[in-house]
Amino acid sequence: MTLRDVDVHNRENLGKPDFIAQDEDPGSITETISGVIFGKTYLWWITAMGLSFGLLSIGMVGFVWLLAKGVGVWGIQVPNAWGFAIVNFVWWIGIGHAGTLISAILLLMRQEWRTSINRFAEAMTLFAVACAGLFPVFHTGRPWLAYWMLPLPNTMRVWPQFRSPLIWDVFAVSTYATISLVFWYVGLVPDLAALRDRAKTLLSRRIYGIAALGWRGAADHWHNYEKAYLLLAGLSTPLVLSVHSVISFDFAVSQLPGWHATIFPPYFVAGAVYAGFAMVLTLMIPLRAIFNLHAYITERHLENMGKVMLVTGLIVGWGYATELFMAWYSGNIFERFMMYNRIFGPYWMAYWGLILCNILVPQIMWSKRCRTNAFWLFFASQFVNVGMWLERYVIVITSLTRDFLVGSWGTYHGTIWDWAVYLGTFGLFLSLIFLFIRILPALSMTELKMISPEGKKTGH
Amino acid sequence: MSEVTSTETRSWDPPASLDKVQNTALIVGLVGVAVSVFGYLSSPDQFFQSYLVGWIFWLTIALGCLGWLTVQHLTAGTWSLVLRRVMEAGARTLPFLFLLFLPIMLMGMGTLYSWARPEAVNDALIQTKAGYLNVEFFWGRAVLYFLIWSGLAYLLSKNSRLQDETGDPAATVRMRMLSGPGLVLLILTASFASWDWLMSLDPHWFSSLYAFYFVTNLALTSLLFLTVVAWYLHKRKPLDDVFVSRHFHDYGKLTMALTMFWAYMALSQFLITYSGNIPEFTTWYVRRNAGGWQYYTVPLIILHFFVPFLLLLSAGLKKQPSKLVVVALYMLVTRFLDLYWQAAPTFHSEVTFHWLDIATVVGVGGVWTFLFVRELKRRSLLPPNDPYLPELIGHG
Repeated sequence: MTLRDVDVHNRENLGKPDFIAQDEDPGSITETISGVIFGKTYLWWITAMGLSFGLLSIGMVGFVWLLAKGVGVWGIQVPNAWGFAIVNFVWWIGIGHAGTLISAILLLMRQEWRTSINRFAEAMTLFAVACAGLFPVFHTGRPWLAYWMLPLPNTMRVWPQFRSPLIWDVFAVSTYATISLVFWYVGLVPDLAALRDRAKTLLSRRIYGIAALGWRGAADHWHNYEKAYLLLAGLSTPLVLSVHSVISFDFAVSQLPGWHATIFPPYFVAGAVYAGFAMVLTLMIPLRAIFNLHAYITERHLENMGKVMLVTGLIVGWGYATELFMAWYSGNIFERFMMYNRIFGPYWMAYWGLILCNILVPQIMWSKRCRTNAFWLFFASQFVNVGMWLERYVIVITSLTRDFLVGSWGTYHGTIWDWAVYLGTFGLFLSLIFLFIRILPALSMTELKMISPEGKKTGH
Repeated sequence: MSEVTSTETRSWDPPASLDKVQNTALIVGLVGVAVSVFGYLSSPDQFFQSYLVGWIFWLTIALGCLGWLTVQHLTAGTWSLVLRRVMEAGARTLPFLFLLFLPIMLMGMGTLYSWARPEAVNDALIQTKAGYLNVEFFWGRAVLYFLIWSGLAYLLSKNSRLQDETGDPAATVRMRMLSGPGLVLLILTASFASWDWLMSLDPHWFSSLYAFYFVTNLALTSLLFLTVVAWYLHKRKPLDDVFVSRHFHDYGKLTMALTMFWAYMALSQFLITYSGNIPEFTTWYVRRNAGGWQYYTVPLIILHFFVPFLLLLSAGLKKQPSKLVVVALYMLVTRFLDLYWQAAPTFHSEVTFHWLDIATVVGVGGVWTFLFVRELKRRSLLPPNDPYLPELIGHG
């Protein structure tokens, strides 16, 4: 290995040549990125959108059936009252975290490599939160009464149970969705103006024009924009920690072995970032290949994302190891049985599957060759996507199917309707993603211009 | 990198004033040790209870230096490069800290750890974990931790010298290669160490967050120490024109982040324990919320979180070394208070302070600082052949 390789890791050097091809100038950036939007509709896009919408339709059938028959169509049975709904909820919310981390924390840390991927990751966050939100709402069985979860003054003086983490969830997730949406939109404004100026038809000019909020690119616009963006980044930063910590409280404040563990908050947050980066890579790698965005999403971006995955994956591994040791160290028969049951009980396949997917396979990220290779990154990401779902499955299902009372032991399996709505959220997520890349710039033109060689020269 | 001035012409020899620091530290340390020995003779139990806290306090600093050193090699930021030699010196003191642990291992086990007393055989719960909590295994683990830590410190230090002498790029690469697995091992062993040395003081209680909390504290305490050293060095040749306010800004921001993280961990652990309300978990907090300890616990939250948090919000303060160092010194005190709060309530159900609590931490600290400065003086203050050095100086 030569010194040049070492140099790649230099923080001061970030944002210099390697994060964008040297021959890119502001004109070519706008050309390439808005070209995706104003170019003709590709056949593959129509096909992909059709397939995604097909999945979404399966989900809609599932939800309609649920409403017609009640939540009993799912595999849930007391005490296993949560099942897929919470597994999927936590999984989707976790995926959203990468977006917030990339857009907020990396901005505050002056990591310029975030620039090419932040827009897309933020959009992914919003769509993932939308998918996540469906589960608790439908799990109530009467989604039209979902607003009862809010503390609304009423003549019956009935209030939500504020000591319940489920109510904290309502606040945490809705705050998260709101801030993420505003952050994403504020970042979009200058790009929307650029699209307005390039739109070919009157209708699209009007729509982009309204969305651009009268942006003219004046100096005071930029001044306010930068300030708002930084403030929102500051506001979003605690959310990266708080949302998944609150979700971990759903489990941790209970008394059930396997749930009542003080390690849950940081370990859930690390897992969320882990899952989120895996999903960003899952979507980004094909996108980069299809639209030929290698000039903007370089190997260094891939490598950095690989590193984040490695680090967060190791933290998750640290969490598993601690849980395992503590279950034994506790000397408590219920704790010990919980861990034994996870490893050797009826759901042993899920447990070993998660160890394989989350711990073993992603260790290939230690190798620089794998971190810089789109194929291996994609490969590892798929394992993490599955592994993180299995992790939540193991936590939710194993503890509830084997609780303190042997009389209430049972088995749980998702029914066809559980799978239908889960697939449906995939359809929703992918449909939104495909719509997004078709009508909005998936990469931030504004920020790419700032780090392009010419942008660096002029200071913008 | 082209505009960089030639670095070979400059010398990075440590300032001569370090001799004075070293001598003062030795005198303070010896006085502290003498007082502690007197304390040991008059009340041995209290001595070990105080000594454990004092020793762990300085251990976290040395171990944190090693941790930050691996982070430096992995990230190659200039904010940490400027302190690389300081971290190396801190890491090289780890074998000496093992010697300072010997009194506890050889004489203090029964005093400190109830599971190590003969009557523990009558405790059914302790018996279920006797395979882990027994004196021989405890010793073996301690030796293993120190072997790993010292070995890592040795290897990094050796390659660092090789880099100085030959400028061989392979040494640079090797240090980075060591640092990844090294950091993983360090965190893993530090987790076990936190369970062994602190959590098992109350062998019935356990918290899976404890190791995360300990590692966060380790990073914070050593960062505060590094900030103080940075402040000292930035006022003196040869580093006076190498440090820039941005470095201190970075230290301040990291301190802020870790302070918030401390609060996050502490709150999470408390909230989960409180809400679960299971007797075997709550005992730990019940102890710390009775017998006068409640008057210690609540101010600790304010002093350790709210005060530094509000101070560190100011960007001006973080960029100003003379102000940041005051916060760092203050927080080193609060770090000690937090560590004391982890251990002392186990020994005393009523809130107590003993002069030995001060004497031991000062004694260990004096001796440790003496060793640290001795190590720091052995090498130049900046690695002359580090590939990033031109950038550090160029930006300075």
